[in-house]
Amino acid sequence: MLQNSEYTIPDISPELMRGPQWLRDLRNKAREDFNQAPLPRRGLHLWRYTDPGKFMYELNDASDTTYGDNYDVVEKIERHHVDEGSLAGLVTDLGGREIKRYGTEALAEKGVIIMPLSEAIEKQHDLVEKYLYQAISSQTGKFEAMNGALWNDGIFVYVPNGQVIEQPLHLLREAGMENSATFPRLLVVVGKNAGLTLVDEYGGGSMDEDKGISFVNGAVEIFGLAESKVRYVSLQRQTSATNSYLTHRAQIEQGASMLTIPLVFGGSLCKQNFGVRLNGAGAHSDIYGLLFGSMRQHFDNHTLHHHAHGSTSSNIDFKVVLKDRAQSAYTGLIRIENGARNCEAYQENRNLLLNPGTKAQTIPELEILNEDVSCSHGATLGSIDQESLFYLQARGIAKNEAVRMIVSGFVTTTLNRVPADLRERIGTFVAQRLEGI
Amino acid sequence: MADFRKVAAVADIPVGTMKSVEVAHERILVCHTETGFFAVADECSHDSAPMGNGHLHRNEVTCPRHGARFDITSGAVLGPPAVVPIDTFEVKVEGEDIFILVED
Repeated sequence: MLQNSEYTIPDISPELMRGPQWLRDLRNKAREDFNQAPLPRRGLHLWRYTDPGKFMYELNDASDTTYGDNYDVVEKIERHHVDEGSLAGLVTDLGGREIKRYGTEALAEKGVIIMPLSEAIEKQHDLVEKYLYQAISSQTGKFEAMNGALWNDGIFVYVPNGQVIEQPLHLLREAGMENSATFPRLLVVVGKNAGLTLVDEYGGGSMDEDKGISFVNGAVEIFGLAESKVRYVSLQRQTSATNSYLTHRAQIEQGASMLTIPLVFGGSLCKQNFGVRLNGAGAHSDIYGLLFGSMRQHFDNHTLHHHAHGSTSSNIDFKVVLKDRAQSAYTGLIRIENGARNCEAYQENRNLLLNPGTKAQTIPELEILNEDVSCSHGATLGSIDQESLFYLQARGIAKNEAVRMIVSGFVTTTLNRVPADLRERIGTFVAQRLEGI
Repeated sequence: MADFRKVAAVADIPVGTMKSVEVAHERILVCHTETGFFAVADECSHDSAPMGNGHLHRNEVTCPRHGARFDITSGAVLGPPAVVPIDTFEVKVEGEDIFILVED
């Protein structure tokens, strides 16, 4: 699979050109928009620190049918969580080719719909047509258009009005191994006064760059209707030779709340864009992110809180820990529209660099189009506080153990917000990265 | 472990020009001046911009994004807004090929 900045998508394969005419038209439009859109220039907003060419490949020879062994292990763990009742259900997605549900029957009895998008297009046509491509269209960007043209199959989740799902629903999405390209897609609609916790886990990928990388381009659309409560956890744990691009867009209505937790650990090159649009009075959104990079990983994350309506509030706390020669760029934008008065928005990005050779960029941004708001943003960037380290060492704690304790303290406030079934595994990811310090 | 990797042919980079290459996960700017070949990190220390489309004059490269200037022989900053030097790499020419010393 060769990198090619000039790549254009030829005709979409008949395998993908299924479903109703409106969907085929949208796929074709996405293909045209992708082909016509120029590659973002380096230096352009959100592309200052990442080469867009790294997400452009000759896809003609890409296979997406081989998967790693780790997938089975994780699937077993999560199936066990379903069996013991700490998960509401599990959905596995092998590159959009094979989507399986486990333990979701009880949810179906409550009217919750969980099915492959291809099936939902037939059985829940009106719902899908109303929401699909509405938060992420082919006009959102070149790579969003790429996903819009090439997604094979995706997952559709619908929670009816008034229905609250107490336990998390877990989605396990596996990238193909070397020389593969996958385009996962997710559409979630949570009805009025309804509640849902969703864990969206991205794993798999190539482990050997010499054999070839794997490329993943995902899109996640979430709609929270009035007074709904949605918790969305995105876990990125793809392997070391995976280039990953993900766009997440959520829209919440009057009185709704959304908690988004991006957990970023994996991939070689990982660019993610999380955004929530607040459409109605009383809507509230929190984003609590945690990124831990090591080796030569390169991360580029963007968050957006778009206050389209007055009397809305938002809060962002995005934490970054880097070691070895890992790099991170974080751009956080709060946009408050002209008519959106009485909004409150806060944003914080803290970066902890564990050794020289790591690099972190932080770009907090505010676009406030009226004067009647309360907004703040802040960023910190630095190494471990030497006084704290000295304090711990003075009490007989070895230096490497003291570093681990300080990092653990740094990430704990975010980890505490992660659903319980996932917390242990996330703690393991952090511990693995702290080995050898 | 560091070893010399072939990155380009001499004919690819005429005197007064430079070429951006990627080797061992490093983006490196190979510059050809009248005094020889030099290699520096292709990332401005001010805003991480790639400098392959910048300007090379004698031993001085200018970043195209904000105009920071660096000495390609030492990596030293010659002009703002950068304040931190950029990495340099050892270069050798064997026959028609250019090699750069990089860490795996």
